[in-house]
Amino acid sequence: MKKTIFALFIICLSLILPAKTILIKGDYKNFCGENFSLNWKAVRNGENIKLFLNGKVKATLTIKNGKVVKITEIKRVAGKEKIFTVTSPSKINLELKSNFYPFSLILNFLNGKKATEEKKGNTVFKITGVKE
Amino acid sequence: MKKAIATIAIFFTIFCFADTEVVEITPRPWNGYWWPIINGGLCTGLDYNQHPAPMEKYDFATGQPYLATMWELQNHYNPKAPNWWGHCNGWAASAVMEEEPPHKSTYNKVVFYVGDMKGLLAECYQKAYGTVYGTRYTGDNGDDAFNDINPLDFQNVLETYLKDNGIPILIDADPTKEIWTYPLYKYELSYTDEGSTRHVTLKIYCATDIYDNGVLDPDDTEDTHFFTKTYTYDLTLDINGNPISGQWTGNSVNDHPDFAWYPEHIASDNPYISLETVRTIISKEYTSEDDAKEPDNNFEQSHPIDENFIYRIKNDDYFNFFIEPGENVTLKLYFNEYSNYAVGTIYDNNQNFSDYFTYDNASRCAFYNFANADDITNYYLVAEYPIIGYYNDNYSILAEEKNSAIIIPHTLDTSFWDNFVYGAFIPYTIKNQETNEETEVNSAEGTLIGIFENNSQLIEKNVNFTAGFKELPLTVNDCIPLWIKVNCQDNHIKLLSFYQSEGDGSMGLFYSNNPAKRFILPHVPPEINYWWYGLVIVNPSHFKKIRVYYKLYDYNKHLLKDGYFDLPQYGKIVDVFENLFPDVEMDNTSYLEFYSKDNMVVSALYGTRNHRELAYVPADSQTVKEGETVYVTKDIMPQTDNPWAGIAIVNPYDHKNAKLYVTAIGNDNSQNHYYLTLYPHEKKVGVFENFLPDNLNLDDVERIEFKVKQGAISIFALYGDHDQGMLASYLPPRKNDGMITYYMPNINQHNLKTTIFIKNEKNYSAQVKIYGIDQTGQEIESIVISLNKFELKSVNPDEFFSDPQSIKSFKIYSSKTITPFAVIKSDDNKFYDIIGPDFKKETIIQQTQ
Repeated sequence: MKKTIFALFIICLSLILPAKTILIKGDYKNFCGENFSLNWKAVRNGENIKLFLNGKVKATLTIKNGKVVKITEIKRVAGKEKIFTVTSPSKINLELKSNFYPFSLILNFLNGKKATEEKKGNTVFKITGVKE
Repeated sequence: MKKAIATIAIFFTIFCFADTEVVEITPRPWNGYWWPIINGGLCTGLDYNQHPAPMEKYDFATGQPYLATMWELQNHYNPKAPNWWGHCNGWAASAVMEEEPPHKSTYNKVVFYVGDMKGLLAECYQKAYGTVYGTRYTGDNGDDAFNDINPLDFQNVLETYLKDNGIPILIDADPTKEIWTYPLYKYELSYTDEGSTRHVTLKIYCATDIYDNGVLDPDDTEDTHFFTKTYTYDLTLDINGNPISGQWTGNSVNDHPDFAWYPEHIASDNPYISLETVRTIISKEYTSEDDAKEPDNNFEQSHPIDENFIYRIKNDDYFNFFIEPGENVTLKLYFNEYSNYAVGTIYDNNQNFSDYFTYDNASRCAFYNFANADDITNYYLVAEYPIIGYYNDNYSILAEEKNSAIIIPHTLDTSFWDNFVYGAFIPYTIKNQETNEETEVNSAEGTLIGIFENNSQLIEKNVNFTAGFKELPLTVNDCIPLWIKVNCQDNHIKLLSFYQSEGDGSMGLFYSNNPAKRFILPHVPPEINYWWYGLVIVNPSHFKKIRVYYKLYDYNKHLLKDGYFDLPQYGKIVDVFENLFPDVEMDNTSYLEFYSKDNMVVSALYGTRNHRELAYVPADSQTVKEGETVYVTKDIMPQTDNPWAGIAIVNPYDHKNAKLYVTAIGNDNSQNHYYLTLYPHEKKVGVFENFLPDNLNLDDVERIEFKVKQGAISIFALYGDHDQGMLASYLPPRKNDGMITYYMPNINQHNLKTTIFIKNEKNYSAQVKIYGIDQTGQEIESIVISLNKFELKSVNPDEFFSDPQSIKSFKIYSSKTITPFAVIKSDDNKFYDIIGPDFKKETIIQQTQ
């Protein structure tokens, strides 16, 4: 009974967070020193956030009580797509610093912080649009 | 559940001991090669399989002749590049993201080895980028960048990728600014705890990008090559025994990974190679078949050699070719399967055995040298089925042409025009860099060849070219060739081809060209009914077909049209603009660029529709580069009543602005400067006065100098008369102070007379010594003339020299900055043309080892 109530509570919490779509432009500098850009779309549904690249899910942040508890990324390995999962807190912290995925920008933005972030390796992420 | 465990076990195995952990990924990333830039192996075949190289095969098999190869040659082949530059990152990224090519394949009759496909994949991933852990040390971004990646982060990355997810990770194994990327697929981690400190030893295993003998095995799929490195570091533990920080220890302080990364975004550097096409090539099976030129199984069915064709052999292949006097050609036969050896046999025109090719182990090709032919001689080459083993693979024939070819790409064989040609050798000095010893080179022999519709014919052999311009024979059996060339060992031979209209017209003039791989034509004239504008393109090789790509740009710096022309061996295209580019308006076209993997000759022609005038416009194969200064002098159109001077400048590059420091030198020696920036593909064109600062009048100016401060430009000067249909143009000379020697022809036949003009470009007096040179190159007479500041003086040979008829050239010498030019005209002004300061004596610095 307690479990059911707790589950319902979580669902309610999720429902009260409105779905939100965030558009992000990532400006990167590759190892040859050349610039290129990628346009990300982050969709928050409940607490969780899915990151889309070129219309496909590329990564997911699983968030519980405001804390990231799991990161999954789709990586190409030996010709096939593979799900890459991170669950250890210390390793999640490392992954959140990523200069490729705009994880920390999205989380900070949702917490009301700035809409631009510069990462190591000269990557610059910028929020370009938000849809409620 | 059991199934799940089995699935995991396929990807990695973990052995946990009290203090040791071994994690290994299977299948491991595949071995490959890093394709160093100094060798450019993907396009040159150097340090790999020779020819055909992987890019050559890709271009040929995909029907885009030379594009990927040409790009690779221009961008990824540089023998002077730092020796660590290469494709290690491209290979490593592809080795973790792509399946290993399983076997050699056949795609459009071309055999691709596993090594070829790995090379193409490396290029497809050369600009791949992704998640980076740690900061790349660039040599100047501080100690922190050198000290990281932090060992705790590194350990976490290895555990996340290899242990938790069964995915390899890429590392830059070199902590310095150099990057050496390898896929890491296994580690052994052991440690001992001492209080709150954990002493860790980490041994990593990486797949290698080079094999024991330094050469990629084209067939290798064994993936047994790896290297290991052992690092040590200390981790600080919290009260629960969890690591919270770390630092490298021992040798690892200075020798640890720079950063780790995993590719997420795939991008090729070479725009002419597609990953999807490479994957298709990899998916194909190997099939046994012959090349598309079969049958070529006997002398009668033999094909002309085509260097750019990639052949396959199932039985003996027969080729025909010819060698001209003056040519020095080494034919090379490259068999791609190096475990076999190449066999080539030469037969004479009567199909009698002549000789065998010699096999050279070092360059892994068979070769045969042809030189000193007495006449144009026909041969057969038979590429033979190797004796050892079954063979059905690629081979290429390359003709290494060691002689120069000086080319006049256009002749006129009509009754309306009288075409005649002059030639001379422009002397030069060779200066030994070490001893400063100078050697004068004053003459060279050459053989004059005429190219006709289906063959070439000898016009004259062993012509001795000296500094004295002399008229050369042009016909074979009274027929004028389509174009002519001089085979020689020294490219300082220059030819001038004159075209005189027999009607009431005038005269045009063509300079000889040295073949090059890129030409810029900086100006297309506006469409005026009176004038036509045409182009001539020549393939100078009789050993290969060539593809000449063109790009036409508009005045908004945009690409207006691109495409290509295919030219057969010794082929020539000549036509007016509207026929060559029927869907493009001349008025919209700013300039043209031609480029090819192979040498070619391109020139432009202007003419009047009533055949009154034909003018040559030089195509630029050099460009004026950063730090160089050229100048355009104003008064080069004397003896006409209403002259004008024009300048066209183009920035022919894609990404870099050209910044020019422009100086207008006034006749009071004032210098007015301004900066001129040309964006990529921008052109500035106008009459001389358009390039002057606002405060200057044309009458007050002597010349304009253009110093290239950044980028590079193509520039040419054009002169004409407002009232007469005459044009002359030249590539402006480089500015150089100090002693200078020019040569000018003295044309005094065909109703022509030559007058020399010399302009003093400085505001102080100058003395100029002019030598008369006879047909043997001897100086037979000399005069000295004095010029006041900025003075333009004419020198009529009839007035200044005692025997002007014996003088074939003038040698003009001064220690001051002068601009000489020659006006060649008939007494009635019907024929008129100008030769600019084009024939300057060079000093060539001889490099010593």
